[in-house]
Amino acid sequence: MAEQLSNYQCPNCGGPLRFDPATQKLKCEYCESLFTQEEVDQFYRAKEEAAAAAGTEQQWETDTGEWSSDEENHMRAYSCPSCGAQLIADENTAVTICPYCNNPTVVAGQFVAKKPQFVLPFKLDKDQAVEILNKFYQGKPLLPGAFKEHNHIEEIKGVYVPFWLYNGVMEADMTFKAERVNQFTHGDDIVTETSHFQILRKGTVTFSGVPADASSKMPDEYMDAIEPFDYNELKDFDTMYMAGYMADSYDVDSEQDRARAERRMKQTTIDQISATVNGYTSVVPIRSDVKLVDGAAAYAFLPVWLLCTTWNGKNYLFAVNGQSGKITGEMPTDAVLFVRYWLIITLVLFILAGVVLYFMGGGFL
Amino acid sequence: MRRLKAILISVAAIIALFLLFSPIETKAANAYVIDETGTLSAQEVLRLNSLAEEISLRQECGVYVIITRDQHGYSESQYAKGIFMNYDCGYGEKDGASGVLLAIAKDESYFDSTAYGAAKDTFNTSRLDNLNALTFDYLSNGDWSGAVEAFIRQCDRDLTDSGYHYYVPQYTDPAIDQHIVTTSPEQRRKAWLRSLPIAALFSALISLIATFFMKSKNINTGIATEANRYLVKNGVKIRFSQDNFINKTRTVTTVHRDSGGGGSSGGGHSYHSSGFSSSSGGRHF
Repeated sequence: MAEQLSNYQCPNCGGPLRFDPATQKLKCEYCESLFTQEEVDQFYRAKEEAAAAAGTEQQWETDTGEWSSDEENHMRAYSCPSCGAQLIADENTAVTICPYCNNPTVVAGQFVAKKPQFVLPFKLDKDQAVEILNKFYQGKPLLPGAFKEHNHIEEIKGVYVPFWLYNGVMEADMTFKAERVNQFTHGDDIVTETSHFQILRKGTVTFSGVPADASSKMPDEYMDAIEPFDYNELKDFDTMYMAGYMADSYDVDSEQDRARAERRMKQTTIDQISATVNGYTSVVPIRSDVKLVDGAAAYAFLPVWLLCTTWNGKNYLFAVNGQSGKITGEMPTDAVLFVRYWLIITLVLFILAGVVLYFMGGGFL
Repeated sequence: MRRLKAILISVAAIIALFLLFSPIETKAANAYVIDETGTLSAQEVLRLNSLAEEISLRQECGVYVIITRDQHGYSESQYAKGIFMNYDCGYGEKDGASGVLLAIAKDESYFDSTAYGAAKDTFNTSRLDNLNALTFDYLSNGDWSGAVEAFIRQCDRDLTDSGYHYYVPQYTDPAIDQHIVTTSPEQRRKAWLRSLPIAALFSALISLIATFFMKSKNINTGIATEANRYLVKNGVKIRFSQDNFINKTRTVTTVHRDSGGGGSSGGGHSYHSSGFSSSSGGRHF
């Protein structure tokens, strides 16, 4: 890639270019021109003769890599003194509030981020994410009204969350105890014959792309809840996709995160191997030896819209899958509304029960 | 503080529901002569109850006299039967209860007698009619105590003369008796009132579950426990598969079929479509 590309200036007017999820192209904020990366690349390549020979193409054969000096020059690093998040963004994207803890005193930090191998570009824009969040608030009768009113929904931030995508082969050696029951009548006797079996199964189960977020600030239950991401749309990382968004640097390495993915793979392996034991009345696993025999992790940025809001002194975080729109979050419950609904439902049920019992003939006592 | 107040109000509301619909009535055990109207003196009730209890235990057949204010909403033909069922009359367990009852509705100057269970064999329509006639003579003269005593003593004689013995009959249609219980508006009201505290409790519990379900909708985060969607196509390969037969166990259960004979000592089973025998009809005095 030509080094000027990371500036993302419009070839037509020189205005800043941002990645547009709807068109999957770079869009000029001023003249609204649209460019593919190739077009921008070509434009600068023609303009910059020396840079064309510089050969800064990246080869990503390992899970992480280093940023080029050019990329580093046009990226900015920030850190949150409150939660410790290490954020990066392109130079045109201002980071003023921490997307994790809502802290407004984000400060410039040292650029130490690792370069991801893949990126999954945002497909949903901010308006769509806000609409999803608004819908999420609906049908929640116990949600305090003041929470919705004081929720700064416009501050929703597009964040590329760092993920490890684990590929692996699990090897399983399992033993089951199984029974097959046959019952028949012989004269006045009911005969029950139970055949007992020992079942042995050995095999392998292969997984691809089991995700585990690599940010200690991001609650695991949030990222698990907004799965799945469609990996068919994964791209080799390019800073083009960063335009207008921020990213979090990973602070949990692939070895530390591995246990999460392995736990999930192990459970599915047990389920899959168990499913091969058929034709018995009951099957009970009595021994399972499941281990990872071949694994690799790829580092990727996955798109998430984040909204962190504070209410009654407590932080509430919402995350929207920037690709599928799946949303997750924890909302407060209004204790008064809870009790009110409980009493109303109790009263309604009690009246209904009273009427039903009366017409049943006086109750059950 | 606000939350605590709300919880306290809720608890108070539930307690109030319980107090409001606390059980209405219980029946004293070993009561053979019951006077709800105060017509008999306490001493008379005590004496007549002792007499009825002695006969009932000796004969193994409950002999009861119950004086009520009104017919408890029963029709005249169902009055005595309804009172018998609703006052849990009868010697022996519920299914094998045996007894004879004189029920008097004072305000309506009406009385009738009935018999249930094994007592039905002795107290057929004819004997019940005789008992009613005997009782009528006393009641029409205003001799309530005499009527009750005469009824009890005549029952004793009838039981002895008929060679009565206690057994557990088999009913082909016990629902008939159940129907009698539920046909009284008064009893239905009482049963309904007794059921309301339990209905309130269940309503509160179901409501609590429903409200917690509503609360759970405010949180949809969760740790993933499996990786099914990340399985590679045809990624499950079984390299070794062996099903080893170990042994076979055999359990034989013999079915005992009921021959239908035998049962209580001194006599066979009697089959009744219902538990009651009735007089030709009650009488007004």
